[in-house]
Amino acid sequence: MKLAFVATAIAIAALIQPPPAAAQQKAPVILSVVDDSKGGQRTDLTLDDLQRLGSAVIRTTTPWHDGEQLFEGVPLARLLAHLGTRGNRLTLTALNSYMTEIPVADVTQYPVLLAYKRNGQTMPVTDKGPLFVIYPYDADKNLKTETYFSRSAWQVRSIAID
Amino acid sequence: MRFFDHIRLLLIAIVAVLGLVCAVLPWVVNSMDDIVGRTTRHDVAWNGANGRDDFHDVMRKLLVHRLEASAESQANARLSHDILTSRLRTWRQGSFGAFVAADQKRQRWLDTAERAVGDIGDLLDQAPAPERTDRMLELIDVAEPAVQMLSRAAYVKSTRDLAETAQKIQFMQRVQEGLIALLIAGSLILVCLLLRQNSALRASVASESRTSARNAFMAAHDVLTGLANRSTFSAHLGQLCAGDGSARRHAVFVIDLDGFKPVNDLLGHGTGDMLLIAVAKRLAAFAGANEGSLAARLGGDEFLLAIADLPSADVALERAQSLLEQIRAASAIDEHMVTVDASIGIAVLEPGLTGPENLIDHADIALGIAKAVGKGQAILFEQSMLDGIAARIKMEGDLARADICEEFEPHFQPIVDLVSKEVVGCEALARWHRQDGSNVPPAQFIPIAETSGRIIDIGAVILFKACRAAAAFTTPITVSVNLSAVQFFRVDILKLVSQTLAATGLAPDRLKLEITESMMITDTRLVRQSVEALKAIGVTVSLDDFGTGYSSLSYLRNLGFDELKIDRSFVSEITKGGRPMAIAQTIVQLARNLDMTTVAEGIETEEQAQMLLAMGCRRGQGWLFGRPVGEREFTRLYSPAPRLALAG
Repeated sequence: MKLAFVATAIAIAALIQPPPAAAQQKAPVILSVVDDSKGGQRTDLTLDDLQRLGSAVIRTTTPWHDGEQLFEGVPLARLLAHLGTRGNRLTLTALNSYMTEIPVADVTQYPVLLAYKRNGQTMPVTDKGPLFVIYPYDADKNLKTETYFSRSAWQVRSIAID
Repeated sequence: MRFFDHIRLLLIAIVAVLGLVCAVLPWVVNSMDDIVGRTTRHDVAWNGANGRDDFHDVMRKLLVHRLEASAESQANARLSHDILTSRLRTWRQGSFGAFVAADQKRQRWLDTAERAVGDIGDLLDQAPAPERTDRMLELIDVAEPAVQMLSRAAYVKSTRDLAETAQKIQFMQRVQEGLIALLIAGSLILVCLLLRQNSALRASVASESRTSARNAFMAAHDVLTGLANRSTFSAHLGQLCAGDGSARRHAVFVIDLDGFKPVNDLLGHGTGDMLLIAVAKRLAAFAGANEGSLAARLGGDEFLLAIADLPSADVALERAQSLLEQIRAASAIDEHMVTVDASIGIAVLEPGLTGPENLIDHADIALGIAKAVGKGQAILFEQSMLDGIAARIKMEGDLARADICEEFEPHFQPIVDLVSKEVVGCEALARWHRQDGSNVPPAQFIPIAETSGRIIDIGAVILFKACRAAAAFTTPITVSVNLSAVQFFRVDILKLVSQTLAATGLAPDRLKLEITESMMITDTRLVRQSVEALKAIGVTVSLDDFGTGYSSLSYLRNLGFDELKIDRSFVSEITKGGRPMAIAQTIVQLARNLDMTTVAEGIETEEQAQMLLAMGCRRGQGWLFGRPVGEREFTRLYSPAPRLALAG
């Protein structure tokens, strides 16, 4: 737990620090993953990196939008497989320091998306971007509860795995 | 039955209620889920509080930017501003959007906040300058109350929603509890009813079997006495005989009470029934003393007794005698001591002989003979009885087929004046000349003709032929014709006699009708009326066979007989002196005193004739004077010659 906190703190620190001038040419890192199950291995990902992992869509309503929305993004399961993690729990931190935990079991049970597009458009920070955790709320009654709404973090910036 | 209908209705109702509860319960649980789901469905308060945090973050970043005024501090402010913009967008949409739209004040607050935050965004797009930052901080001051109010209102609404929901949940919980209580109560009642129904069913099955046992008993037994009935008796006898066809000897008694009818008539049917029950008890006790024996009631005052395993037929007779003694013992019924006698017919199934069905019939035949020869006897069936029966049956058939007018005719026996020896009359006696040439004696056919009713036709033919013959006689002697009791009671005797007299032309005073004593006991009134009517048309009536039956002086007093006939049984012994003579003397004296003439029957010797004459009897008939002969012979012998030369 303490370790996770430290990892998160590092992630936030990295975010707040301005990127080096040499890296400004490169596409910005939008997601940082620190995997404690692999000795604190850190992985930085750009939008391109995520898109390369292949995408999936979820069409659903949410408590934060009017009407049905089409979300597109990388399935969390695929991301975790890509990272080759052995952890059981994801701790997500948003740009506004909102933190939430997602058990890995959720990812195997539901096709949880780390969405980067809403209705075909990439999401800016002003529209809960760049990354938004989306469950298929309409597909399963159990998902329309506070438990899963609270796990649906927007403006996700980093993930700590343990 | 009605009780069961109610229970069934109740059972159906309970099952229906249980079914309804089972159907409603999931719906209730489901709607509770919905209520709970609504509360947990994205909390508006949470969104509001986070929005306020986002707003304060922007304010903090702008204050830092005001102090530093660097590109970095501006970028940080920019990011925080983006996050706030994103937040405000969520306040326009979804559940929070609905919350805002519900109230105009909230809309105004949000409008204010959006406008101010939008303006801050525009200023952030421009190059950093202290006056712009000041402007932004002014705008923050504008937006802050709006954000605060919205956040607080969201909290208040959430709290209110929560309280409301809690109330609903409580209510639904109470409904749920009620339904579950109903379910449990219904199930308990159901179980109780089923148990009760079960025990009621068991009780009804038990009572059913009791009833059927009673029905079975009633079907197999006589209702009055509780003895077995005939069918049970037959079955028992069948078993007895089927058990072993060889070495055993079984007997059947058919018992008929003698003198039961007077008991019934004089003391009433109640007493009669009690007497039957008393006799039945003795029979049952008698049967109980012999293994394999069974007593049954055949009906009326007839009983059956099966006695198993007898060493010989003689033992059966001995047993019957001892049974008769037991039956004769007086029974105390109410305040009366009632005695009754019985006749018993016995049939013994000799090893390897006739079956049980004949056994009862044979015993019945023996009983008939026992009653015929005299009451209070036990008689063993013999094969010869069956022959007698067969002969009787044959004769019944012959009688039925006989041509009465052709085959029956009277023979005449002279009746003479004992003083003058003149033939003063004759008795017409029926003769049956069968077409095959044989003659049947009256003693054989008359009892059979009486039971079959054929005597009515025979009697009419004899009467007619006798009157016709008498009318043709040259001397006006009387003719006596016997009337049967059957004729007396079944036909209009007065009409028959007057028609016959008219048809033959015989003077009424030449006809004498003889009736026997035995007729009197049945219906004295009818007999008296008929006798008086016959006398009124001038016919003489005589009493036949006097002294052989229930000779009662009251008949003689009440019925105006003209003539009394002394039975041959007295006449034949009259010369021996003693009692027969005294009786004959008394009868003659009695008749004379009552102004009746007497006729002695069966006079065979002159000595008898002289004695009777000495007693005062004026008339006689018998072989001494002439045997019965045919009409032509009688006419030849007696009619032309008024004075008769006596033989030997």
